[in-house]
Amino acid sequence: MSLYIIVMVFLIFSAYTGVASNFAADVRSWGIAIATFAALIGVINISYLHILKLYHRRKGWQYSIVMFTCFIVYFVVAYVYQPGYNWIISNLSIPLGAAFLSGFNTLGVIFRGSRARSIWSVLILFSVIMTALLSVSIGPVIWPGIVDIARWINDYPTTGVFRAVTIGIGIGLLMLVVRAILGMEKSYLGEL
Amino acid sequence: MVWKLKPEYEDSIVMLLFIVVASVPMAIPLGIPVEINPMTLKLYDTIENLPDGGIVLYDLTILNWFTNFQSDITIMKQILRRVKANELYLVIMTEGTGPIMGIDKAWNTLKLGELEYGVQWVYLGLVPGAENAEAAVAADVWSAKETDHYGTPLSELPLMQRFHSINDLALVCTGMNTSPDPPCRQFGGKGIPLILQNGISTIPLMMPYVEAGIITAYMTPGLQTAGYEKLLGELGLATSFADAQSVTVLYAILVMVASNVMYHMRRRKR
Amino acid sequence: MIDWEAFMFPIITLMSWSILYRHTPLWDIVEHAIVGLSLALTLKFMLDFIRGNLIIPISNGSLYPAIIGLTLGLITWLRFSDKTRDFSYWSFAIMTGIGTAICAIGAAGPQILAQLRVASWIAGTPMTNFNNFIMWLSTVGTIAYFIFTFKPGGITGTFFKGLNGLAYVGRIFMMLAFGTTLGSLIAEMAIMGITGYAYYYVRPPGSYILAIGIILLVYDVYRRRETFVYRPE
Repeated sequence: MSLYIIVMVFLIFSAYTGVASNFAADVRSWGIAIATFAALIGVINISYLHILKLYHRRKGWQYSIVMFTCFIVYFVVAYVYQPGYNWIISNLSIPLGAAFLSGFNTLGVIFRGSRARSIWSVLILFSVIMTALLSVSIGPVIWPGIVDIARWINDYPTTGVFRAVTIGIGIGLLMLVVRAILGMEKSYLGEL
Repeated sequence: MVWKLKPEYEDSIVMLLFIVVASVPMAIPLGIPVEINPMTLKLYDTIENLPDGGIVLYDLTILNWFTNFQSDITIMKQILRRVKANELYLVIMTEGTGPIMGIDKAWNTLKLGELEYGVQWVYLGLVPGAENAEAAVAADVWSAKETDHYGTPLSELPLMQRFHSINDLALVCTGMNTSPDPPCRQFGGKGIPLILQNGISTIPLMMPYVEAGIITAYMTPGLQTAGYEKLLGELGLATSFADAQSVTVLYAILVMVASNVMYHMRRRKR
Repeated sequence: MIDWEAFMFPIITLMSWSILYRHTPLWDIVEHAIVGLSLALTLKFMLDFIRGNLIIPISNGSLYPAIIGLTLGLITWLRFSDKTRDFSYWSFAIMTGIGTAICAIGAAGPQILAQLRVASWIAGTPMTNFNNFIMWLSTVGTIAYFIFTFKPGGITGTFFKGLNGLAYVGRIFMMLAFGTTLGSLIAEMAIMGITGYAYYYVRPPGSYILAIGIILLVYDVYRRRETFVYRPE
């Protein structure tokens, strides 16, 4: 815990006073190095879980073979065969990544969650419809006033509300620093 | 005997219809005119008015190929026009492994091979650590990364001799699809223009920073990028998708209205 | 020359979207494939980073600061053993401290001070003044809602009764704001949803692959038709 506080206080002090800025830059580079190794921990963990799944023949163990095949082939090809690496990126990685990001969950939320039960829900739905139509080319075609109303809602009330949210986030971050220095923040490393 | 459809399959039907509705305008273009957003004009002017000799840092954090990355590609096209004319210089960094794939795929579209590497542009590659990486690059890029994406030491790249921290930059662009807080905290408020390419749903989150002058301009996928492509005169995927986006939004609004009608009818029956 | 993209995009997206219908082996295959590909990519680029930014400088004689970064990074791997796990928290403590400091340093200017500037209510045109007032009111109302909402009655409830009214006004503005967020999310869903893939489905060979997918779907729906409906009591 003292390491956490010492590093944090030193970086904040250095940022505002300029003292030991070179050493502060080195400390930040260590953070990048630790993040790199932490990412590799994730790789090792997932691989270990799938090895256990294969070893004990748990449900769906056949798909772990798919996982390891893709893993090993892609890793080897990335180093030894550049055209193959480019092929995998263009025809496997990008389609897979894009397909998984499809926003179908939002459609479920709209279908199940957007039920107007009170006058305030109607206000929310009005704002939803105006903003959605502002973001597409057909909105101004339906009625040019949609652009003005939706832009006004976006530029003034919405900006004001999210300005308050942003201030709250900023104050929360500063409070986290104060709580850590006072020793009240103990949740950041779970078991400690 | 009355049989009812199970609720979980109601969602499946809604999503299936969504796929059909989105496909129709791709086959039969509707030709709905695309308007150019005032924010698009501001972004365009920001890049055009950069002083000659300026270095632009483009920070990519995410790869959504059909949406956010198309916006990134369009912004980079405008920057690269000035890079080819030897007016600007470009440094690209990524915070994740996805954008690296995107740059590889977009290589020919952006015609990066036609530029003089190390002099006109540098590809720093992956700088892990998310906001920590941004802070490190903003403070001292040489301590954040020793080599570029290809393993060449930064000391051997002429362009990098002029770029040590954010104070050496003329513009910072960040491509992302999440909360704008991290780049605004690390790149904002330092007197350097900041352009964000972000998701449409993050517009409300970006507005306070736009109002405060932290974000100079932003770009979102879909209609705004289609307008931007029209402004640049280089129509791309975003323009192709504009009609489909209109129809799918109308469908979503119809789903919302239908859901409310069904809900209130069921309540009355009880 | 085969256009692999025109084949692979439709096949992979149909396999991914089979989950919208029901859990199928096709979904499991793509799920595990993306995990494998992501792991490989992460491993490759992280190893390249370690080699280029830590190991090569050390081997060239430039020990500091690379040696400390490498040491701290390797210490994180001590978490794999129960006996040495506690030592790994040192590195995570340093990383967490760096992250917190970086966020806090950046929070003061852009997130707090820059947001506290208020535009004039009297200097401009009536509409501009009104708009600036609305922006101020929505900001203050939202802050009042989150911080100054008290239970009616008691000392704080009585003393801050006026602020409860302001919090109510803030709630109205928040409804507009969150409606804007959902509307933006709908627009984003519309573009992320399937517009990209529809590009491949409306031209061959994607249209043929889609036709095969529809035939398989219709066959499966017919085969399992009795599982889609229930008889209400």
